[in-house]
Amino acid sequence: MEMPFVKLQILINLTPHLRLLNLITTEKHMSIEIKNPANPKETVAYHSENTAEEIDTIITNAKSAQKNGPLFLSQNVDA
Amino acid sequence: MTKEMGKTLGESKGEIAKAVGEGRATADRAGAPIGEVLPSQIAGTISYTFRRPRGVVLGINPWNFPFSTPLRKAIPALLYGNAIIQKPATISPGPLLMMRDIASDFFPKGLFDVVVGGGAIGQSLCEHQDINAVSFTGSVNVGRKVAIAAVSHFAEVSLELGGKNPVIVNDSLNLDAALDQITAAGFAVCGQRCTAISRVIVHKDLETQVIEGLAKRANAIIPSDGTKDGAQMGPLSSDAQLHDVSSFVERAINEGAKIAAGGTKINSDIGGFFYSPTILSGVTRNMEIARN
Repeated sequence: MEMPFVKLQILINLTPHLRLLNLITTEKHMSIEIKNPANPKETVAYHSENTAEEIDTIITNAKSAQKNGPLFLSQNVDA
Repeated sequence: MTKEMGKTLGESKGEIAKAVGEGRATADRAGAPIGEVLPSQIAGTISYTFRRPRGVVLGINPWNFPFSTPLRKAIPALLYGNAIIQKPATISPGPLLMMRDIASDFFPKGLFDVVVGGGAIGQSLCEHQDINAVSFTGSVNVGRKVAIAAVSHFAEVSLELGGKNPVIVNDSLNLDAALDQITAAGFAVCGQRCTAISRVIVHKDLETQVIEGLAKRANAIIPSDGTKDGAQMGPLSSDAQLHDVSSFVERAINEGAKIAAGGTKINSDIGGFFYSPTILSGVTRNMEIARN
């Protein structure tokens, strides 16, 4: 009788990871075209959406930089 | 900024000047006390408070102030020892990407970074266990989603959401000066500001004067390409925004509001998202246009 609850709990816990997985598989380096709103025929720039892998690296680097940072009041937040 | 989201060059320069001033004022806080010593009830001990970093802060930014808003998030976060990752709006990422490039010359790798992407990526960032705080500026609807996602793992949340700001005009004012100020505050950045005046509440004895005065001022504003010298007002930021604004006006008219000025899309040979500065009268408090 407890199985449905357990499955639901697993699904809830995995939801953020499934979304990231979804990003990896469906939105890898999607291109964003920036148009000039005064003249939409003019493309101002193209940018690529970050992939989930890139985002994970950015967050890991941020965490590391914060912990080791030389800036004012820096300290290990896990302390 | 002007090329990406349409505000005039003057407005773009003004945003940068204001952001720099705010940044300097915030940086001055670096020397301020970061805690206090409090009386203790136990002999031989002291009680004290101090500030500590949250860790990794996520900034989610709007398209209407793509320079000042991220700077307003970054400086305090860095000042108090955090790392910050920022996500710009998809239509105006340029200023933040430039900031990232500049920051990479001065900061350790990872301390200031940018993620480019749409709503799904924003949602994933908010849900990420290693994001310790989220500072969001944008709409009420998205802000609600951000808050729910961040709170799900107990990240600190700060929300700066939309506004529907009224001004009250009574008979004690210099009416011309008041109408000038209302026009400026209502139509700056095409009215696409959370602090824009979007409702004018008028004493009934002044109703005609105020409507005519505002209509005259609105009609004198000619929207044009914001990069041109002397541009008074640029286009709306996107096709979707143009559709939203024109739809709001259409529904207001269907509900009984009257057009005193504007109320039309402006056709240009280059197809820009231009909309005439608009004044509606006869608006009641129950109408959608008065509430959203």
